[in-house]
Amino acid sequence: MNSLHTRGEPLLSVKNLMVHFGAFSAVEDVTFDLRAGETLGLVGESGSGKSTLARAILRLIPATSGSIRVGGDDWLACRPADLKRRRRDLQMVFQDPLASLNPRMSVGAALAEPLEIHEPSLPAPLRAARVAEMLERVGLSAGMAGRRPHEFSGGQCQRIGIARAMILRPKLLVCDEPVSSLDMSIQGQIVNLLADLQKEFGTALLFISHNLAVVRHLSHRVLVLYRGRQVEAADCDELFRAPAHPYTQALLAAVPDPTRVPAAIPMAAAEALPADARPASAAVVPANATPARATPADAAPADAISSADRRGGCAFVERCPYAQDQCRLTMPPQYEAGVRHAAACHRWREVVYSWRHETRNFRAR
Amino acid sequence: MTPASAGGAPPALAIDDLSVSFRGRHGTINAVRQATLNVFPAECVGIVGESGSGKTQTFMAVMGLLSAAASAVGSVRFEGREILGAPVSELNRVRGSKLTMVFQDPMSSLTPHLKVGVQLAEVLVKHSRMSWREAENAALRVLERVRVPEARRRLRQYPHELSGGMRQRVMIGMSLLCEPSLLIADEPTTALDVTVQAQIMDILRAMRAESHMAIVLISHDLGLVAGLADRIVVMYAGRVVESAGAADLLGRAVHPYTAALLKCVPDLRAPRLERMPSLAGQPPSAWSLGTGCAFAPRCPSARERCNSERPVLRDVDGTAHQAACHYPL
Repeated sequence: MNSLHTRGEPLLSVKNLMVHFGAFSAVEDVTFDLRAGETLGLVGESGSGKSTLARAILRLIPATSGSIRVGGDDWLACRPADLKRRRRDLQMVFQDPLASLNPRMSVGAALAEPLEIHEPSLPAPLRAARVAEMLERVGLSAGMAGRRPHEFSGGQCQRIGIARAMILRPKLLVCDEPVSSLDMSIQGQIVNLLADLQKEFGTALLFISHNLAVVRHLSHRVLVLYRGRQVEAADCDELFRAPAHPYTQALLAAVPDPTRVPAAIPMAAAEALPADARPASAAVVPANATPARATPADAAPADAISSADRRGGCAFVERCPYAQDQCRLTMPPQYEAGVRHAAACHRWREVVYSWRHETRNFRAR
Repeated sequence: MTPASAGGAPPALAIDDLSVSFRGRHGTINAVRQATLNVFPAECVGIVGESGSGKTQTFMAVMGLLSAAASAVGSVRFEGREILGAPVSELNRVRGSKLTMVFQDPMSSLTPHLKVGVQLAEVLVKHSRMSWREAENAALRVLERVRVPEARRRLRQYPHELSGGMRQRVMIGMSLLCEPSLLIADEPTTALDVTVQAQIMDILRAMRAESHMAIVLISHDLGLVAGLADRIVVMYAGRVVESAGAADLLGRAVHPYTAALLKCVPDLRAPRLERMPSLAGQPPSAWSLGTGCAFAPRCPSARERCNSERPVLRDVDGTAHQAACHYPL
């Protein structure tokens, strides 16, 4: 189980959160705490539910069940009038920095807008001073306030996005893939800026990314999602040292490593998947068989299956190099795989062992 | 897989002194400046650089796909024949068959209203004069080659019914239909998840192992390119700044820009660093280039000479390692 921190009250506390869209379950039973000044890395492929989870936390979409507490208060019970006032504490940075800025608005106006909404009594000169200060703080110059977004590079636009989010000094900053559309050489600048701002303002960060290398730099704790479910949660160093879920290992193994060039896998070997991992084509399908549209290679994360389909076992089973019969039959509970380390995998002991001793190929199918 | 360069075989693609410029309302932008590079048969060349480095425009010029506002001068020879500025009819004899390109966004590269099978078969009907029936069988085989599961069913699907990774496999499959001698892959995995990226790279690796096709892999991720390329060409502000064998470049980058890019490649097995490595400053704007080295404003080892005199690309040693730097590392 996801043991609790001992220090102080969490700023954000999410318990058994579910977000369903009709019969489709986008977020299924997610639980975590996040404290001031800390970063929770939220990791998973597209379709894993990480953005949906973030949106539910910001109350941009309704949660189906579960609880969200912000600063100890029941956030889901917060009334619309209070919601607007309190939203200043929860701000967001988006993936595409250019698309998230109004192209017709000067950068200065874009930064002033949150202040106009949340601090309407602030006199204009003071507001302008706050904007100038924030621009400098994110590594731009106050003189750039008159320019429009298209005049900036991708990295600079993301600095503007961060400045707009941080100008209200929020308690929680949700960053949804903030560096994924940036050059490799620029990603570090943005990550380091977020780390600096966090240190200075004590902001809690919910950092969403499919890129583990980036998550590793910022996170104190990491939560791995697969098809809406929490498959692993651990403190950052622990997760990278001893990943206990095969999906986490697959994500780690997918990060390009120039020092280890994988050999070409012959085509024949790629086809040699276990028979039970192939799509069921027979007319009679046993009750516990994998659904026909869950295919082995590239099991289309976007193709996420509904909660009814996967009642039988682990959602990762068709792509998992460790899968056994048990995995197809019963949904793994959250096993305690270490200190403050939970993994939803029946075979987590062997999974950790294999990683430490590098006994196999960790790629997901 | 050794490139044929040493054996003296003629290059599959020879780009010589290529410049690409765009006319705009505010003047002319030089996107590519005097780029020279060769790709030999069966060789994989990685082209690395940040956005705006000219890496894509170089190969858009090769493919004859530059926008109307652009003009290209220099020479591009494919299998010995000049193709830069060649008439469309002549270009189309090699384009899409012997010389193919895969783009970053597989959704916008596929026609949304045509089934995948039709789009694939059409290539063979046009280029190889096959019957539709034969072409559809060939399309099925090519999808199996790029490890598309349930290939037969996919032929009857529309692009929007496929995941991003599956679409990119279809695009790669399409580019392989006519057994090209050169495949240009421009950021083929940037829009995809890391796990899917790894699968696509595996497919490209396997394609290399089983055919004599040359590959140009364009990316901003040096780590990714290193996993496939025999030789790596680094571009900055429209120019080639370093070029060497992959192992040589990774082991001993002599241009400070390459060295900085290498530092940005994450190493998950090394201890966590206090700061995430990055390159200071912004990628250069095509407007603000002076007479000196374009990298000088961001370069940790820049000296006065770098601001006034542009370094030319020259041999670093005898091992086909070239760099454009006054003070190589």
